[in-house]
Amino acid sequence: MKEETTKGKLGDLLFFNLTRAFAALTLALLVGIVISLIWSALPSITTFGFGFLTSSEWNPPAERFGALVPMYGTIVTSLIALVIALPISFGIALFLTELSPTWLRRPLGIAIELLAGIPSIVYGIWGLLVFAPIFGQYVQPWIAKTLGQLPLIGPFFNGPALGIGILAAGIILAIMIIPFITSVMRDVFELTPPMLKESCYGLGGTTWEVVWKVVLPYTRVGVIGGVMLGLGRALGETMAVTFVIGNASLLSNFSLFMPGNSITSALANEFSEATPGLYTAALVELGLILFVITFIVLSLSKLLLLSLEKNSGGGH
Amino acid sequence: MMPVEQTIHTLTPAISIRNLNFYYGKAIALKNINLDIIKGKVTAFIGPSGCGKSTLLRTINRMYDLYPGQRADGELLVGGVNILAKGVDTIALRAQVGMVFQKPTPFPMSIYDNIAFGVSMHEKLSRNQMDDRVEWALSKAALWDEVKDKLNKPGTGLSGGQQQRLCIARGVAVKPQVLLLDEPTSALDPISTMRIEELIHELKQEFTIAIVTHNMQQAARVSDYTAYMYLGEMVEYGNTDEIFIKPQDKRTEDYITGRMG
Repeated sequence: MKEETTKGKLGDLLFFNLTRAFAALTLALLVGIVISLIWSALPSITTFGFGFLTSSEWNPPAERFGALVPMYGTIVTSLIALVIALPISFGIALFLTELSPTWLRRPLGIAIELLAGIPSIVYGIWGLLVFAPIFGQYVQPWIAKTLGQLPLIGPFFNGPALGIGILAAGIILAIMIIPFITSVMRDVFELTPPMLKESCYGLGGTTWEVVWKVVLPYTRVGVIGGVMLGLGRALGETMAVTFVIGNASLLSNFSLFMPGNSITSALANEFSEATPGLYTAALVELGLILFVITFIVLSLSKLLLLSLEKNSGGGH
Repeated sequence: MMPVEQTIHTLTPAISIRNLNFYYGKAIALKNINLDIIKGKVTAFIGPSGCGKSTLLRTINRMYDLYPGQRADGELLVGGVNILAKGVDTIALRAQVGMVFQKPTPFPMSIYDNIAFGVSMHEKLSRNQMDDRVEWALSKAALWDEVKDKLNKPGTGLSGGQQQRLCIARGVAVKPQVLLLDEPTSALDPISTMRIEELIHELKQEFTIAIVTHNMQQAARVSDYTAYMYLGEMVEYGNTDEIFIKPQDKRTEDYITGRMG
């Protein structure tokens, strides 16, 4: 009897320390990566200082580097992706959980999960060979004629219809993150207690009112989590973006039709040919900036959740 | 006290149910139900679990519409209109027939919005009118004094009993003809239960109430009429006093004396 207790205690202790070690490993890895990034980027940080963030010059032979173009590309393509993917994902998840006939739910759900499993390089090749030509020939001229004529947002939709460019990259990213956001939204929508939904239907609510005013607020933590997952993927996506963004370190105007560059595609394209020293350090600093951007996005989402909690409260 | 000679048939029905059958897929859950729910009275539905009393309640506001495979036939007249017919506006129907559930289900929003939300789906009110309506509904549900200083706080922060009264206020705010209460106190402590029962007494001045309950004392305390259901059939329906003092049917007697159920 006594022996067993000792054994049990020992086992618990062992297990506790084992799991604690795993948890500590994550922290150690994170700290290690940050330190090594800063260390490797140090030459670039000391040479360019804050000017690195505001300069759009990227001139390897002259060893003058600035992060503005790839930062702009990363943030703008991700924003475009989010603006397109969010309503579409919401619509799909809404259809899947509330409106779709039962027999259609499983096949549709599986199709969405399959889309999430396609390797990003396939999206990249498809984007370059199939999407971009069609986009440049038919869609971009039409966008330029419609959205491009509007005041305020017009300048974003003007310029040569090349097919590839920042807008194309944003759209490919949107296609890639739709399955992620959709499946998370669907899963959390399904967690809403049927009685809560019935309460709203019981007051004479329409499906739209039930989802918009009850299901969405009730599941907001999960929904924002899913959106952040998608945004995180968009920010870090490399191959698909590299294929269609154009890889040009230019920032002459704000047209989304123009080719650009993103942090990840700059890294992917240039790391192999970068000479040691300032060039490599500048690229590592780009990586560090991406890390910081991701961290800021994560913090903003936490702040958003906190403020939502204060305003409406409740839920889970 | 109600005069004994006043029979159900001479009173105005708010809801008339004729030859109602209900099916979950192929399984039949309600068999040929016939009954009148009397206007301005409280009607209790009792019976063992699975007897179909909640199903009957969910038929009255067509809640079963949300689930494929569930269907009803027969006639169910609310305000003279057969609501089982095709083309019935379920949104308008549900504004006429409010429902409160077994567990409190406050919406994830403030106390004020919990009330105002339902109202705003059917009526366009000014801010002042809405303030008045919220106060009116919360007063009707005997909750106003407890929450008037924290209307902007989340509804989920209230106690269980308060949440359930909030749900009743939410239903009342839309000004329905009928309130359906589906075991409204089954998740509440005795004191909260007592408050809800007092509330039911108050509310029947203005609303027709149908209540499903597992608690026979509760049915005896709150209702004017009682229907005993068993295995999807309406076994006996009449004045609550008569049902509990001298039931006509052996099955009713067995149930209320605790020999079954």
